[in-house]
Amino acid sequence: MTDLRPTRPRTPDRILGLGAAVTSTAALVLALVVAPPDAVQGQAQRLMYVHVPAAWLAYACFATVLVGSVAYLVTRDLRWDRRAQAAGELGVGMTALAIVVGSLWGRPVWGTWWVWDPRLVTTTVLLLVYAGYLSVRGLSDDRGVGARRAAALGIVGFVNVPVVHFSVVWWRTLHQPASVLSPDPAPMDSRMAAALLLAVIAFSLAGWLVLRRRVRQLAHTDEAVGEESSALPAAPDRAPLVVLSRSSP
Amino acid sequence: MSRPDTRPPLPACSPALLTTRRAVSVRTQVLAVLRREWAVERAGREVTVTTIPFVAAFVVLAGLAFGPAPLTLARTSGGTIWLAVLVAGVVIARSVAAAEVAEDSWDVLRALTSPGALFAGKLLATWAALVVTWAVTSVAVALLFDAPPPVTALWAGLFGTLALAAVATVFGVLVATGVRRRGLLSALLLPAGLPALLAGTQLSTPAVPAGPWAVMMAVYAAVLLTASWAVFPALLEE
Amino acid sequence: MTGGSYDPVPEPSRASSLPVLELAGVTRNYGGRPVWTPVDLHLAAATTTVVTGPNGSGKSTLLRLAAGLLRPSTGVRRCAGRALYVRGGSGPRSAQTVSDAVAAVAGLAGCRARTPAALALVGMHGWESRRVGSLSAGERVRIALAVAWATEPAVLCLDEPTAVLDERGVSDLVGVLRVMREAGCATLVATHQPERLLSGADMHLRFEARHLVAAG
Repeated sequence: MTDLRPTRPRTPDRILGLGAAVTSTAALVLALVVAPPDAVQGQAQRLMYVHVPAAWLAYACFATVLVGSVAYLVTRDLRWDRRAQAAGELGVGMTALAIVVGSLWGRPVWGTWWVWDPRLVTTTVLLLVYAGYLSVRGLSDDRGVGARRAAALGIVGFVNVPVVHFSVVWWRTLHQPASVLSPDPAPMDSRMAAALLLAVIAFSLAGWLVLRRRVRQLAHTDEAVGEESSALPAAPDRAPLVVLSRSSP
Repeated sequence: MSRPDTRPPLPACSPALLTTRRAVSVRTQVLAVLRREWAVERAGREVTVTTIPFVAAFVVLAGLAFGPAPLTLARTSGGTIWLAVLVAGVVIARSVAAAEVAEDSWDVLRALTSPGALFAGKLLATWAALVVTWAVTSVAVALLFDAPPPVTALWAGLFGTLALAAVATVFGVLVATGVRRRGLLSALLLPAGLPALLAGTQLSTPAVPAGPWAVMMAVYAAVLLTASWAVFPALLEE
Repeated sequence: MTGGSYDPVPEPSRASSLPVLELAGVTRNYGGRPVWTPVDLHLAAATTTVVTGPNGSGKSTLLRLAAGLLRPSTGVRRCAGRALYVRGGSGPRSAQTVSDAVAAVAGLAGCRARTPAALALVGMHGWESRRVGSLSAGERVRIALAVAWATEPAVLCLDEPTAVLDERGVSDLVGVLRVMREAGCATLVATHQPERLLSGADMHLRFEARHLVAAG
């Protein structure tokens, strides 16, 4: 019986965990104490320190899904599929977080929970596409079949994202200039910038750690159900069975 | 009857040398898949009787939802056409492989055709179904909404349906060959069809600058066609 | 048999000695476990092999692997030519006529013209204009056999064709298998009623305790 519990943290995990803890603490202090509230948006602006890193991590995860999917279809090595799956799961979580936090921020600042902004629409479509990516794994009981379907969707879904984004950008500019979320021309306060940078680093390190542990957990599951090795010994007599045509059937 | 074989092994996936009398070109296979699709549709009219009444009902209900103000109907005409085509695409995608998987003829198709030929044949059949759906919807909207579409709508009709046909073929096979969660098809297809909806709507609306949207639609079709063609063989493996 | 040229019809002696299908150390995992121990199997052209074994022993898996429909979890499959897998009782249920349905599939292999002869071979002459959706399971097996003969596969895998066939159907099946064998096809038949098929078979393979062994 294979032990499915996560194994003791390995050295890279410890370093990542420590790095994530230190940067998170520093980012929290900077974001909540040191950085001033936004002149226009007030305290709500502090949600940016979660929203932006979550969105960044989500995009990084979806890029990882693409790499893992292509590599799996080329090599048929389940290690790539596990990386893609773990990245897909984290990416969906981070996308949902980014949308929810963005919406919470939008209510006091814009006076609405939702605007038809290209980035919002694209991010929501991403959430739908990658929720589908995770769902197709359940279409079949066969591990390899699920991995191949997911990889196919991981590729088709990702290459479509830029087209989706630009189509919404153009659609938006048709009706009104995309001014609401366009880059702020005013320079950002250096304390805000530092808090944001640290938060991005903290999310990246923590995300990397989560990915590593999730990939290991998936590998344990695959091992436990025998996907990684054939448990049955070969038949004692390995001479091939040869069927030849009899002269008179 | 049984003895160890000392002969050199056959090359993996060697061409048919022994009992296969004919080598069938990919072009012939594509035409044969297409011809078979046409024969099945002509005999059962499956797609025709499910899709045409669907889009007709969709257009009438959309008119009731958005109308009767002529200005509103004119503004929503392009969107109505492409929303109808996109949703009908789900119905059409379901017919790509679902029946064949259910009756085991999918195995025969996989065995007798190369993945590329099967993809191309299914794609062309799906494209034809979507083009007909788009044409019927466009005519219905032009009549009922009193909003004749501009010439640029033709471009959208050609490339938008091609892109949708590519994803419908891939997702149709992907979902049909699964053992459960068949309802996922719409959840996969509709988000992927977003650019077709937007570009198609703009190209079907008078007085909208068509240039960028025409390029967008062509790029969208090229991207999805290439990606779908690349991943399709992996979907045929079990 | 080198280069691009080859005899259109195989010479009997050569056809009977060359393996058209080779499974080397092939297994397939289900739920993470291999169905059976690695299988090494060589099928020569113009042979009929009967495969038996209890329910769940992996007969269908072996046939689908042999037909190239399933990817082996371990091992290598080599096949010289086209392989076809047919499950007993399955087949088209569309609104097409018998003749159109067989012709449409045979057309995929470039063998459309063989449709009338194929239908005659399986005893479906005169049934050309019937709709395939209205056929019984046994009649569907005949249609599948007609498709198999028309498309000239190098390897034919028949999965439980006898289960839905009546006495006369089994006799006809034996006749079709003989014709396929004479045409150079290597046929694998999985069945629970091997008695009628064994007389015309070159080999009887059986799954015993997750091993594929030669029976008898």
